[in-house]
This record gives sequence, C-alpha cells and structure tokens, in this order.
Amino acid sequence: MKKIIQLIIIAFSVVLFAQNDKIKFDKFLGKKAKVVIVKEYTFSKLYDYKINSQDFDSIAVKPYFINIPEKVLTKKYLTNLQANKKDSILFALNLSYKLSIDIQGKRYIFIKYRVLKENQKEKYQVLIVSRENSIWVEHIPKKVELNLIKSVLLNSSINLLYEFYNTSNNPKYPEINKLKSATKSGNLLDIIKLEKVLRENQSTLKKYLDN
Amino acid sequence: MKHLLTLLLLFISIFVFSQQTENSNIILGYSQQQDLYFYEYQPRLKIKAFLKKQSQAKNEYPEELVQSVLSARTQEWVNYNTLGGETKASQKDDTHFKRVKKMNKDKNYFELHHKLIFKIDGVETAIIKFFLIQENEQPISGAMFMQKINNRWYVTSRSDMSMFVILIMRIKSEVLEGALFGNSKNIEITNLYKKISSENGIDLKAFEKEFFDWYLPENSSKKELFIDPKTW
Repeated sequence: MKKIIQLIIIAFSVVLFAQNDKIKFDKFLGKKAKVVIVKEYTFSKLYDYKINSQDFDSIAVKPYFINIPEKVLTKKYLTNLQANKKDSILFALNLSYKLSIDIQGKRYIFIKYRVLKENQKEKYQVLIVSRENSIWVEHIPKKVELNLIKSVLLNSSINLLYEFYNTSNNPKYPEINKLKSATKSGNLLDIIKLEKVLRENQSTLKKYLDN
Repeated sequence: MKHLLTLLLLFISIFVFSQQTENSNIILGYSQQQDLYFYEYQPRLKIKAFLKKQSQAKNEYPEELVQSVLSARTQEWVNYNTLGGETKASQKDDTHFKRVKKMNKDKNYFELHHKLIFKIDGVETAIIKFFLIQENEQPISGAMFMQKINNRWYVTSRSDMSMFVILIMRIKSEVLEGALFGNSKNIEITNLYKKISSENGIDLKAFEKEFFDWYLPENSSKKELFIDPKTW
C-alpha cells in the first residue's frame, strides 16, 4: 500500500511538473476586429523650383555634373542638352517641383518636369531617383506605392498640394476646400485618398495646375 | 533716410529669398484597412523561464518569444530573439545572465494580460501587455512589440508605433475589448467605441488621440475608468 501511494505521488508530480513548462502556444488565437492603420512617412518635403527661377534651378539648359538628383534628369537628355549653344538654346528642361520622401528607410526624390523643345512645351513627366552606393540613379517604380505618389505629382501642382494639406480653408480655392476632408487621415495628407480625389476631379482642379 | 530704406528693402529680399530656397515639410502618409486579432489571457498567463538552451527556443508563436526573452541566458540568445541581431539587441552583462540562471523560476515570471496581432506593411506584428513579476519586488508593467519574419517572431521596435504600444500597455483589457468590438455594457466604453469607429473599422490614430485626451485634467474620470492603475 505504501509503495502504491509513493508511485501515485511520483506520477502526480511528474504530471504537475510537465504542465508547468508545457504551454500549448497555438491556442491563443483571438477575436477579429477591423481596424484602420495610418502610416506616416518619417520624412517628406516639397521643394518648389520655380521660386528660384531667378537663380538657375528651374530651367536646365546644360547637363549637371555634380552628384545631385537633378543630374540624373539632365543625363537622360544629355545629347539634347549638349547640343545647346550659348546663343542658341533649342532644348531645355523646365523643373516644376520635387518631393523628397523616405519609404521603408530609403530616400526617393520625385522630380516633376517637362521638356521645352523649340519653344514647344511637352507634357509634364515625373522622374524618380534614389541613391545606390552614394550615387543618385533613376529608379523605375515597381511598387504600387511609388506609382501612386508619381500619379499624385502628375495630377497636381505644388500649390494644389499645399492647399489640400493646409487645415485652414483658403477662400481662393473653393473646390479644394470642398474636397479637402476626403484627402486626409487625421492631420496627414493621405496619398491613397489624395490620388483618388485628384484622379476623379481632374476637370474641376485643372485650373490650379501649372500651365 | 533713402539709404536706410534701400538697405531695409535689400535685407528683406535676401531674407525672403533665403526662406524660399528651403524645402517645406508636408506630412504625408496613408491609411489601410486591416484585420486585427485581440486576445485576453483569462486567467492571466504565467510565462516562466523554463528554457535552458537557445536551441529550445523556436519562437514560432508570440508567447514562445516571450518565454525565450525571459529565459535567455547568453548574449547570443538575446541577439537571436531580436530583429537585427547583435546590432539591435540590448547588451546584457554577466550579472544579468547569472541572475536568470539562478532565479526561482516560479517566483520570477511574466504575467500576460492581453495581445493584439495585426499587419504593418504586410508584416505580421504583435503587441503583448505583461507584468514582470519578481520576487520581493513590485510588479512592473510592460508591452512587448514583435514582428514575424520567415516564420519566427522577433522583438523589435518602430518609432511610429511607440505611442500605440504605450496605449496597449496602460489600458485595461476590458476597455480595449470594448473599444475594439463595441460590446461593453459600460456607457463610457461604448461612447469611446463610437468615437473611434467608422465604416472602415476602428481608427487606431483616433484611438491614440482619445488616449492622450484622457490625461487632460477635465477627463480624470475617464482616465480612472480606462487606465490600469498598476501600470507606469
């Protein structure tokens, strides 16, 4: 009898000990809720080239050779720019504005520009550049996010972006004031919402774009 | 007087020009609808440092990672638990590791209260509220932020989530559940749910904003109702 009791106590201790360090980790599953998560870019800045038009940077008539994002743009049109003569400028790049933004730890520069060729203005384009081994190079976007931002720039002017971003309403822009709340998530300008608003209201907002 | 006026105009132009050459900040981002899973550990789950070797730490589940964090008795093991390894892991000294080996495992453990699981940029993420229970010490509250990469959970951090992690640590479990599901019988919690919910789901940024407001003097009753008094 004494031995049976001892065996029972040992068996009980083994079971108790086993429970102490054996947890079924796969059982803590939880209930599902729907949430909206807002992601804010840690760095995003706009630069207006036109403000400095009295300087040099809004019109490029020759290639740049220093390692700056704009060099990548002039390299794209190197032959055309090199053909310019001092008294005969037939080709120029009109830089409108750029957005510098950090996406998942990497700095991207979006440059909105257009070609001016023989006094004709071509349509606006956006060049994306990023830094690879300290050198600025063109980045061909594959991510949806980059194409979304590109679309925002193509359908806006820097002034339009500021007016959408500002919390106070400017009476000069009644159409923007009406659409503003549809572009925000909290205080930030939501690029997914903004892209949709810009795309769906192109005719209304056309007058605020660069000519 | 004429010279003074000219100088003043020149100064203003220089000032304005230099201001306009600067980049302007603009806060950009985007919102995404997500599924989020809430789990309350009832009864509170005690995670003890029963692992003796790093090889025992599979870290396939968030709670396994918690156990691995508590059990880690070498710097290599601490690095193993941390996203980024050695470069990101906190450096522990020998005194700490000796304490881990010698401590009474039944009297020094993590007590888990609730957990959230969701995705950030497609990466599975969890936040677990816990108390560190130590022999002869007051319990200390904490929240562990972790992400799953290649089927293994790692301790990590994200600056854009730091406020939300503090919210999860400080909030009572029943308030969190009521705010996420609108299933509380308490009218204040139901009002909170109504304030932060929309057709797309619970707005976590709005939830953060409400959390900040509880600390205003006029909201002391909400703070008392919503915040766990045992947390820091």
